[in-house]
Amino acid sequence: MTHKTNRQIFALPILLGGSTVAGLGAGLIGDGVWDVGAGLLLALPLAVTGGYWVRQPATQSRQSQAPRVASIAR
Amino acid sequence: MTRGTIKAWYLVHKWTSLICTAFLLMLCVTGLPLIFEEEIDGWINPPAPMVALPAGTPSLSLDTILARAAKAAPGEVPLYISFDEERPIVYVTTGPTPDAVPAAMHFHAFDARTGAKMPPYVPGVMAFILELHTDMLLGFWAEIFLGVMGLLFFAAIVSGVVLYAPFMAKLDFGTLRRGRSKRLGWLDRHNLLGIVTLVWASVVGVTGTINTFVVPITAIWKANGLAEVIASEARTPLGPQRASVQAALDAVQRKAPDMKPQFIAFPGVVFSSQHHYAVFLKGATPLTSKLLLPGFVDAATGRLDAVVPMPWYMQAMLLAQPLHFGNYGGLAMKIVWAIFDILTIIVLGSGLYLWLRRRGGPSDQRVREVVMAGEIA
Repeated sequence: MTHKTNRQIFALPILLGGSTVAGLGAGLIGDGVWDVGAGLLLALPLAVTGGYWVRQPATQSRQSQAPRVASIAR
Repeated sequence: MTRGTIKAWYLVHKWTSLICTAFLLMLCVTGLPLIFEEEIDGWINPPAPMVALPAGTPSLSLDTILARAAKAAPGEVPLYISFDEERPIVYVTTGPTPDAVPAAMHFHAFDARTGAKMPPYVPGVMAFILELHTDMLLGFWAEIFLGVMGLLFFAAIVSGVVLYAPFMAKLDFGTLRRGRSKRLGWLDRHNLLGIVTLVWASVVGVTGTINTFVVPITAIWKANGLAEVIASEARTPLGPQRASVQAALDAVQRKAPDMKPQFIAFPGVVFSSQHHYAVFLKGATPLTSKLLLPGFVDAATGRLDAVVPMPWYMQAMLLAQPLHFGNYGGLAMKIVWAIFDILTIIVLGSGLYLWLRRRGGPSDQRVREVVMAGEIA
């Protein structure tokens, strides 16, 4: 039960944000294959979100591990 | 992060969100059909058929087209000429005066090859939704107000990201706690959807704000960047005689042969000076087509006074437009835009729900909630 570092917390968000930025840029650069790439890069964060959204919760024990007290709280 | 810091960011998140949420919900809801404006308009109002002529049939002179527009709108002055991107159609906008408000303008379409009048553009339901989206039908200051709401929205996003760190300190990415309280479930969804839509919402929010400042930004450019053109304002007022618009376009195009005409602004309208035809050329590639090069031609003598590359802030403003509308990457991009838009609506709605269903007590209670990942029993 240790604190995650900012790097751990933001690794995936930064990856998905980077994908979004790349998609927004690729669409501006060109048509055709650039637009296809843009669509895929922009869809990646949506697909990942969808995956987490429908995912069945892991075991009950994992839920009970949710933090009761954070050291920072005191 | 100390508790004091978290509390400060919490208060920023709370107040920026509370102020902007109602307006952002309106913008997201009206923006959703606007993503598909082209498709919906084409479906409600299918494009009129054009006579088939051999490829390469030359276009008529713009002066001929203008004469036809003058006949169609007696007593009005031409304000803009623009060009269809796909078909050989020339659009002429006329109005009672050069400073006419958009509602008083008339829009005429002509076949560029024959000069035949095309069915007029009728502003339909999409134009109404666009007006709602732009200024809630309340004019310039309402548009600026919505721009400020966009800035608050961006501040809410930034503060939300800052609060995401202590909240997620002990949770895995994408944790959605089910079977607990309803509020905890929405807190998790708010965080997940907020963090994945962050870049899209920031880009669309900030570019939307930039779009609301088109008129003042253009005024700054005219006041600072167009010294030569402004110098000409000291000349005698423009008389009734007019030089050829076609010759003006040709003169500017000779300076940039690789570019295509985007639109021509007549003397006195917002994109021109009191004396000039302002001819705006655009690049031929998808990226450069968003960037414009204006040339200013004396509307009385036909002399090319200046071709002035736009300063960075005008270029940024022009690039902001496609990034706001999401209309530059085909249908796939529009669908992505729509999904992001709906997710943003959920983030806004869940944020409001979380605030309405908060437990009583001082805001320190909310800080506790952030650092304990919502686990305040």
